[in-house]
Amino acid sequence: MASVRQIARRIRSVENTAKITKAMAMIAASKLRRSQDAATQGRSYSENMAAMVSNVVSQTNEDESHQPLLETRVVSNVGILIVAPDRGLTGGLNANILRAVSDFIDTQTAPVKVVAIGKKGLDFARRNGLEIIAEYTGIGDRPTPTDTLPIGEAVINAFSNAEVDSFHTAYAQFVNTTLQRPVVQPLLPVSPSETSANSVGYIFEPNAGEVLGRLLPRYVETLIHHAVLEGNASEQSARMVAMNQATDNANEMVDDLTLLMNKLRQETITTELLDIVGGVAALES
Amino acid sequence: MKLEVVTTEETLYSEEVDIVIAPGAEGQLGILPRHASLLTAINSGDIVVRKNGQESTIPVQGGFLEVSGDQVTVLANSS
Repeated sequence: MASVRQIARRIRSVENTAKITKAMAMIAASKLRRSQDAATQGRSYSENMAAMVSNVVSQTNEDESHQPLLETRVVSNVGILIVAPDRGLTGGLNANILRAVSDFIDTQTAPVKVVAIGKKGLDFARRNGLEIIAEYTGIGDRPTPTDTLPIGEAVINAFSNAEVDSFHTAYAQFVNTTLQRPVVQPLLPVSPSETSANSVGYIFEPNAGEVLGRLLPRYVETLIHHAVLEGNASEQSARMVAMNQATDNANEMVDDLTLLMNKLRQETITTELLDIVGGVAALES
Repeated sequence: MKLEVVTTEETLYSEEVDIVIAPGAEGQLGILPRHASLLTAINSGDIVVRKNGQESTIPVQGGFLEVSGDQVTVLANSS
């Protein structure tokens, strides 16, 4: 049985842990507001971009302009872009993303190659012996389009060099603070949504092929950037929730230990008192 | 006619305007209300907007411009 002093030390240590986790939760909460803003602000751009792409694609016929990024090939190599955090302490988030990735890999018959954003995704790829095309770590909490640009270029290059014949993105979609949904979405070849009803004759300048040739890489970059932003918001909110939970647990533990310590202290006092009283009674008789 | 200028980071401009002058890939182009649907790449430069006789400029680093119905959307690379 632990002594009173040992328990007191234990309580202090748990209290310190609670302080740390509380600070981490608060940091994550303040970062979350910014990441969430960035993710929602960026949505308008990518939605407009998606609408444009589907408008142009619905009006250009395949032969008129050959677009390598629209080309569907026989898939002999699958590419996946894993967007995962650099650090842990995010509750189940990292595990959930990576589980979604490995489920995806299990359904593939062709060999899978990886572009990893974030250390956790990279570690996963290494652990599973997957071929890594490119890796990007330490992107930070406020990624700008300039930060994600090289990723887009690497992905597009790998696809146009036929290093891979299709590309998917795996990232955690930010739904709300308590819910982040891991998703695996097709990225390349670009498959525009067929929702656009206004296929009225557009004028293209200089011409449809040229516009599409410039629009498509931009679109891919936008999708990637957006995935990074969503992933970031998810990471911060997952960390905030996990750290709040940890703080609560630590505080609960401090309460339990304090109770235990007090009981123990009283017990010791009682035994000592009994000893003294017994000693006095023995002397008197 | 409504003009919306968005970048990946924010919406720079979103207002009713009278005329938009943009640095198109094929040269400067002015867009008045009831313009035909158009999609063009734009070069780096200033987008000039006129509204109730007042002129203002929005600098952009290239991007795309779409006219669809009464809506002009500019997807700017950055500002």
